[in-house]
Amino acid sequence: MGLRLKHALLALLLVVLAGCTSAAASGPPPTGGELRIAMSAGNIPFPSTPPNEGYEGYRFVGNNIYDGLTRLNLDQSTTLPTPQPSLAESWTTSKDLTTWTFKLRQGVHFHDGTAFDADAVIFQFDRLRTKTSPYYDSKSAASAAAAFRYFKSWRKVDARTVQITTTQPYAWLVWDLAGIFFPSPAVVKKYGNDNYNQHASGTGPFRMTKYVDGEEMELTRNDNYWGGRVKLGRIVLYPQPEPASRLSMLQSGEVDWAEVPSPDSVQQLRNEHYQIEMGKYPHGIMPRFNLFRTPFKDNLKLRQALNYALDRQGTAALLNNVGYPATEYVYDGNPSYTKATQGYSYDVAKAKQLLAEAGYQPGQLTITMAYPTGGSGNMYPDTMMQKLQADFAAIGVHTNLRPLEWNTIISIGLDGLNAKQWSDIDILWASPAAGMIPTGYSATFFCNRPGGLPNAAGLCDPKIDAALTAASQQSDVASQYRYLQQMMDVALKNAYFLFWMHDLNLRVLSPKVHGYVQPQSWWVDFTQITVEED
Amino acid sequence: MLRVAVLRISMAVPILFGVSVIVFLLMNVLPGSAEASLVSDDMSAAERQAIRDELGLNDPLPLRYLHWLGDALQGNLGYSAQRRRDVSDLLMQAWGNTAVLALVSAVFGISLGLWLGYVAGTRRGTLIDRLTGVLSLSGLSIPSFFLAIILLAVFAGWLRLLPSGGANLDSGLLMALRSLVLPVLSGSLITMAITARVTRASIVDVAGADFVETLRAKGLSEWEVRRHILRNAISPVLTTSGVQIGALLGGSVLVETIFRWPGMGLLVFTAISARDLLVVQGATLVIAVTFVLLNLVVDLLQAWIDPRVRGAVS
Amino acid sequence: MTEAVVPTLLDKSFGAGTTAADRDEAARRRDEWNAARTSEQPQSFWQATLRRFATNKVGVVAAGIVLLLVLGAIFAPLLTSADPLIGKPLDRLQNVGSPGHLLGTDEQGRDMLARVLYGGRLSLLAGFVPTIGAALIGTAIGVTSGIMRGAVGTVLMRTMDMLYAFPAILLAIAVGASLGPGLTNTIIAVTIVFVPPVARVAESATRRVVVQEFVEAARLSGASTLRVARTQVLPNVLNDVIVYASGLVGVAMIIAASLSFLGLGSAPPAPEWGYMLNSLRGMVSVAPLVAIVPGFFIFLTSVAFNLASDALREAMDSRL
Repeated sequence: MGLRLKHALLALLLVVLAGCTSAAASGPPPTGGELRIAMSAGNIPFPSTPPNEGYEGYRFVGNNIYDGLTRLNLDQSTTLPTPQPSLAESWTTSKDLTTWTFKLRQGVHFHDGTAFDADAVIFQFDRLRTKTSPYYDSKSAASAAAAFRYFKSWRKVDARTVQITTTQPYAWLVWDLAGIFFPSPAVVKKYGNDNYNQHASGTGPFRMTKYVDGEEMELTRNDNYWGGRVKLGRIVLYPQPEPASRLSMLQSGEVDWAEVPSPDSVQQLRNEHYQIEMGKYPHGIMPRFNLFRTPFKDNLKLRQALNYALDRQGTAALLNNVGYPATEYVYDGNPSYTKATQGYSYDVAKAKQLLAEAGYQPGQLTITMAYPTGGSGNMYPDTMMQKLQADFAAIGVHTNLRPLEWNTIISIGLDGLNAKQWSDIDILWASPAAGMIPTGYSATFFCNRPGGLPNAAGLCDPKIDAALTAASQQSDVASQYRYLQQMMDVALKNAYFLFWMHDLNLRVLSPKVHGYVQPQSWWVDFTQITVEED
Repeated sequence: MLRVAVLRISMAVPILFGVSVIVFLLMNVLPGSAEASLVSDDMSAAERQAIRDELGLNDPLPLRYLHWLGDALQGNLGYSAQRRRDVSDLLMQAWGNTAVLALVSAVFGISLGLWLGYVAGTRRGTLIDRLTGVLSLSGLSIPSFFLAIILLAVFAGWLRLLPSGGANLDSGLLMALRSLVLPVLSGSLITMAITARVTRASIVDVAGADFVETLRAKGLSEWEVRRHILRNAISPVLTTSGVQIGALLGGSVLVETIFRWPGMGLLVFTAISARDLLVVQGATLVIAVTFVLLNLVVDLLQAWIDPRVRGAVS
Repeated sequence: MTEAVVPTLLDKSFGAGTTAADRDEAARRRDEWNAARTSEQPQSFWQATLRRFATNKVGVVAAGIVLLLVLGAIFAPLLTSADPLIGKPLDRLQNVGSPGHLLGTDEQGRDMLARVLYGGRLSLLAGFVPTIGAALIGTAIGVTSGIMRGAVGTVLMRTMDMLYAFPAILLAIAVGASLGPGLTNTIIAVTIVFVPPVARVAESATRRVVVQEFVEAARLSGASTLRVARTQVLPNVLNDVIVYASGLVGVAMIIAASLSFLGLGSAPPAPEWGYMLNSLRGMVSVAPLVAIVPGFFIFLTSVAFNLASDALREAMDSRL
């Protein structure tokens, strides 16, 4: 019985396997080499405009297949990358910063061979913003809404000129434009929005040559790239949310690049001559106090007490120093960083004193903090939260830990802590790309989010609103940052956040990879990388 | 026999219906929203409602369910907004990947388990019996994902003999087989252990039954007696084998996650996490149909092997 | 008599949880367990079984290990002075056998021995409670539907099939995600997962027993269905159920651990073994010995309990 069954199953299996071997494997890697990457995302980001899987999707897929009208200068590590000409060769703006005119680059072609021009720009804006457009893509529109927050109208002036007007004076339009990608209108029309992803086509430095959802994506050099020669031959992306598995992939030689392996493996990897990349960049863990109600509403001393109670060095030690203590919302070196006010140190005595002044004896206060169990870009929530619980316990504040799925944490950020189902949460985990793109501040700092809903944590400070609005309306970049520094100063003085940790963007590359630059950004420039061939 | 099959298939309909209702209800009590991964946090309330409307999230529960059921009956499992793909495409891909892993694991686990269980059961109390016992106990007692991580660290990270993951089913037979080794080892140990234990217990049970002595008294050869024992002992083994294959075909979330094997388990888990109702519903349906058919096969096999059960089945 | 075989896990001292809710929960389960045990009259069969069990060396040793683990969990505060919840970051990932840390320290710098001992309280609960609960419920359902042919049996078993048509871990994930994290919810989820297979095993065994000659004989002699069930069917079916359920204690701990792995199980910093295993899983290549400790204890408990119950089964079997 057992034997007969076994033979039957084996035969069946061979049939199945034979059926699966029909698909052809890719050819040998082109010159410049093949860079195989273990991403921390749970799936291959889909190549839509915008992609999904957060900034990891922009990093590996969006910025490689597509161009925006602007692009951040990710090819250097010394300063915060800022918007540079890309598909827009140059631009001018009206004095009141509401009308923007973009001169488009000429001779640019999509991967399918069609030409990029003003019509392609208008096509995409309509696709994402005009509900009556025949190619309106409601799902992409929802994800792209943030980049269009101050768009009022757009028009084609001539074949190589487009004009955008904004709802208010807005200097940061060029930042938003770095995240709006342009797909080939011909491809969208041919396959429709729902089936576009299998045929994604942009103008970017790499073409999508293979895409198997859940398994891998292959991006091959675009030899006709308008931006000059791309050195790297091919990128292959694999999703792997498990740090231990990413480590194995790197060690077994299946990949040349691993996003955030387990921090404790760093020493071992260094001994094995892997390149350990770490550097300051705009990413922090800055939990938000629920300011809709007690105990944190109108209780500055309590918020300060908890900020003083955090043993940030101890937390960093737990993470093998792949992160470092945050003194304020953005990292030291970011242009929004304020030097006016000293950040919060670890001072248990001061924390206890402030707790008493805030009206609580040790043991009297119990708070609930919601945090994610995973999700890329969240550092190490589980380890960090246990430390936080111990730190707060040391001054007599009891913390209930409420681990939630990442999707749920995002939902809370949408619904707000004033929503009935989330109102028992006192502190909400937040892992902002703090200071990467100034427009990113709006949803976190404004009393009302640009869409009109109140700030999700109930933060509302007229001084912050004034500073942030003023910053976005300065044509001079230096004055923009002066206002942003003011805003950071107000946030710091009022302890509106739990200023906790900054991430160092741990990334490990095999010794075969050359020409990598670790930028002060979540995004990366792949065009100048080369990989030695075996 | 045919009557039994028809009867069981007709009984499967309410089961499938029940399963889909249970899953639908479970999905709807989960916290968090389905559109969370689609929208931006500075959308207006109206824009958010519009996308919820489009996804049908604002309809009353019964209506949403009937809508899905109506479409499903017409063979349309819907479009996943989160994955931007037809649910049926996603399911076909995932089911294929899982089927390969499940069949190899089942063949490996069940045949090894049957053999070990048989050897142990017929040589009760011997050293072989004890060793088999240790092996099956170990298989039962090691968390599969823990084993997976250790295997990964040893064979992929340290020895660098085998790939650390990926289905690699389109990279040639050899690569496919190499990719299968670690996931199959991690996933089928429990199948092997359970099969071995049940086989042994059943054989020991039957061997002690009165009819065996009767057969011996009748003067049947030892080989004939063993055949009778095996035939009588196979029923619980078949039951558990059905269960094991069913579980394997449902996809092992943990093994699939660790080895980057994009099958049903991983698909359902990520869909649950993303509140992707249509994918969960569709996948549940596929898993349930697979399971019901498998149970039918097991029952029919049982009836065929053990005529006394035939009455009980119908 | 039977209490000596299956250890008195749920005695009063076990309810010493950290919160009132834990204590109440423990008390409730203790009562459930005790009620279930005492409803069975000690019979000479069980006395004989125990006598035979005592002669099985492997079984006695295994039962001894289970007992030691239970005692270790109960008397954890007497066995170690280290804090299982708060550690010293600078002492993290000390190897097994380091001075002052027999089993090393974890990624937070907490003493592993203390965490294993205190964690035994949670993990043993996560292993036993769902198994016992599911064995009781599942047997009742399986025997009922095995004896009652026709509508009742069909409906019961098809309902089981419904739950069963969803793979165990996915069902646990769905239930776990709905209920939220925490040990109690994990236990509920695992119990729900276990009922259908137990019921199936019980039903299958019942069907097999029902058609055997001695049951037919009892029927013909005019015994009521209930009496046949109690005297002829149940003892025979229990054999299969015990064999099956004995394998479930370990599985329960493993499913609980799996839920932790997926972020749906015990909430930190509770030292449940499965959770510990998961939080140390990234350290396998860095501190392999420490990382293996929690997995080893799950393994040990599971093996010990399986061996003990195998011995029990053999002891029961000898009556034939």
